[in-house]
Amino acid sequence: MKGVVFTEFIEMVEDRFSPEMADRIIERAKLPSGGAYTTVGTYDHGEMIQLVLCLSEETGIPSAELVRSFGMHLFGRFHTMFPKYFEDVSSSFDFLQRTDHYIHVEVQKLYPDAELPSFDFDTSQPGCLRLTYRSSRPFAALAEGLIRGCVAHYGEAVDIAVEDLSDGAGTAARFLLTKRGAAP
Amino acid sequence: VSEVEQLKRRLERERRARKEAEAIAEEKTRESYEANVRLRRLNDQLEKNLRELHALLETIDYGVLMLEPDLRVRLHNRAYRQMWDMPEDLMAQRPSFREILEHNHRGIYDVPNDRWEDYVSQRIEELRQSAVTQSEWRLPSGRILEYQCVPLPDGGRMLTYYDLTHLKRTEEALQAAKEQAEQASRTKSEFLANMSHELRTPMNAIIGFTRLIMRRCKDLLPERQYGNLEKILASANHLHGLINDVLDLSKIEAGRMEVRPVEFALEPLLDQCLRTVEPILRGGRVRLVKEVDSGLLALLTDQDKLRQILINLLSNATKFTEAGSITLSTRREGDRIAVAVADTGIGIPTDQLDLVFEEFRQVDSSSTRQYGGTGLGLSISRSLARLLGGNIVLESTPGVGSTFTLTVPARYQGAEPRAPAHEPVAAAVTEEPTAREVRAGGGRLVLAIDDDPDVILLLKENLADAGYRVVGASNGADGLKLARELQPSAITLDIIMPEIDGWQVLHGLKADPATRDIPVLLLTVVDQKDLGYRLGAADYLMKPFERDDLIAALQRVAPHCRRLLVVDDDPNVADLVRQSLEDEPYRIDVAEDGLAALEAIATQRPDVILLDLLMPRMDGFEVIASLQKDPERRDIPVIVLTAKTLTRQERRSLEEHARAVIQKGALDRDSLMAELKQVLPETVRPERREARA
Repeated sequence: MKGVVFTEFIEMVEDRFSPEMADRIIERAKLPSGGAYTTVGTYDHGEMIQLVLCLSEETGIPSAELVRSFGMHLFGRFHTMFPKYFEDVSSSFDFLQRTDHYIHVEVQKLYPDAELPSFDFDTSQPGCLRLTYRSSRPFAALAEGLIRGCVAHYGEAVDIAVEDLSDGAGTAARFLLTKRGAAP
Repeated sequence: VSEVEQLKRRLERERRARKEAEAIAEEKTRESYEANVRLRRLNDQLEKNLRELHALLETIDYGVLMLEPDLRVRLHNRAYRQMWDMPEDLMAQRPSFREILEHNHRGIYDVPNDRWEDYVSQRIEELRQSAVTQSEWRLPSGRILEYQCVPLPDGGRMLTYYDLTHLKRTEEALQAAKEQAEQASRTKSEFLANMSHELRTPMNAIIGFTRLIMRRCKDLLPERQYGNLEKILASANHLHGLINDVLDLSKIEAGRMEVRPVEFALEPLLDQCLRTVEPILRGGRVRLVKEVDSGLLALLTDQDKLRQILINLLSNATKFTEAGSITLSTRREGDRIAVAVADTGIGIPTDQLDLVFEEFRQVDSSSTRQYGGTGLGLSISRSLARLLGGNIVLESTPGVGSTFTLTVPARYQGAEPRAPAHEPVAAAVTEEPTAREVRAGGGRLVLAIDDDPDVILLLKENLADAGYRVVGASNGADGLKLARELQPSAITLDIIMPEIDGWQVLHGLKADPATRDIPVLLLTVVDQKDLGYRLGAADYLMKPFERDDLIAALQRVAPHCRRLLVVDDDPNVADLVRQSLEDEPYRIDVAEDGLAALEAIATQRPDVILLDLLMPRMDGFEVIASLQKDPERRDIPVIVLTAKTLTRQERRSLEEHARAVIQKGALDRDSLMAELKQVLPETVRPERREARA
């Protein structure tokens, strides 16, 4: 998992909770990297799971919810850090459909070792976007957060329904995005 | 946990993160530097390729003009600029196609001013089409261009022009020349057809009337005048023959000589040919001999051409034979027949063998005077023989005689590919005879393995009158094969030969039980006698060899060896005889019954016959009776080997015609040797093996 996800996570914990909380979960999680993250590094995704679990235990907030909020936060940060990917994109549907064919391709060029999830799109129904997430890692909740972050970014009225496709493992899920007012 | 500690930890984490980031940054910097180096190299290579491509483009004869999708110039080459007389500086400004047309083509295309706009629009419209277009343009200047327009994947256009003017002109000139040549050929053929008629008609009249006068007025004319008429007739006949020859030759050259195959028996044709030449024999000093293989079947070929060849060969032989004999012999060679005309005439020097088949040539140009003839006969004969799918080869020894051998397929199979015009005669002379043919000949057999046909020819010439028959092999592989098949008395072997050299051949001969005992005489320019003897050579002679040395060496390594024919249907008997005589100088042939025996005897006369009495197909008594009837074979000694209880009458008959009767039960080496010694006392020479030791 790319370092930016970790640095953003730690920063979010420091902002939303406190620097002490960040220090606590890092200490508690007993991370192989010791929690010294940099955006240019790559780290085991297990450390992220560990950090989320510790944060959940410390705060009493369910970990899925924590991950979702993190996803939403991360999307906003992406917009700040990588504005080029947002050029000429005017809606969440547009943006989401570009992830697999454009953004992930560009990411792969920069980081040949990045292991990226795949997204399938179905736009056969007007006003609806059916998005299927598949990954080797259990971050369906993170994907959901990012999608929600995206919709929030464009300020759109879109309903999001989530269907788990991996028996709770979190490695596959289908998201049905429906513009409010359009037929589901 | 104190705040200070927390801050310390955080500081520690940040420091480590920074170090890691720095390490990564350093690594990335190095990677990007290396990538840059690689990129620069690739770029250099690419630029070099581009320069080469550009040079190539500038060199080719094809005019190339590449246009952008908006029809502005993208790329052009020298051939294009020259073809259309476009200045380089104008082209460098990347003009549009319309501007190109405006610049120069107006004059070239010869389009009237009021239609020019239409013309340009039409051309541009054509270019916009997405299909490949191709056409041939004949410009008002007379130039011919091949034009092609190919749409490119990016929407551009590739226009190519090729100047066909020169090619087309050459093509037209060639076509004209071909028509002219064909016309000339037709004219020549017609001329020849007319000539043949025009020339033959007066010749026939001259000959016919001369004969008439000679017959009718023989008694009226003074002897001198009659003699003059004889001279006229002889000259006219000669001229007639010459005309026929020249016409035949023209026909053959023009490929208009046709083959008309018919079915016929060979022997009557031979008789006819002999009768034809009989009158021109020189008095009683030359004898005509016919030796015909009775096994010859009917032939299917062109009878007239065969007759023409044979009469020619026979009359040629009469011309050059003062005294002695001319022998016409035939034999079958697989699906071919061979007819040989052998004379005891003056012969032909080796170095001139290749001249006799050339047109208008005789060996000694002065011999035309002495011997007459046009010098066309042999050339025509060989051409005819080849037309029939055969050939004529010549073997000759000056002062001894010449043998012309005609070989043709017994059944004509249509034309065979033409032989090269000047095939080396030496090669034809060394053409390998079949094993049967070789064995049929008299004399001791020597196999000469040498890649130089002249050496083989020289051996043949030099050894012939010493009683050796030489068979040549022009390479090592053939040599090994022939050695096994022919079992020669001796082998002469060259060292330096292509593919398999003489050392390898010698090794091969010595390694094969079938050829191990044949003495090998190295005959070479290589002076490595020690190696030769070590590899098993019997003697070593250096080239160029002296005839006497060679014959002495041959006599040393391959003394005369007697031929013994065992006739028995029981292979064990032949085996027993062979084992009994293993160390004796006998060559043992085997026939499995009487018929086979007679055939073997006819093929090669044995020195002794060991004969069984009871055999299938033909028994021993019949063999003896048959031999008794043949004056030439009556005296071959026969030793009867039998298990039969003889009747008194049989015994009496055998006592008269057989040298000895051995009961098979009593057959052992000693009794056999005793009988052989009695029959052929001079043959058993125990010192024989020493020569080889």
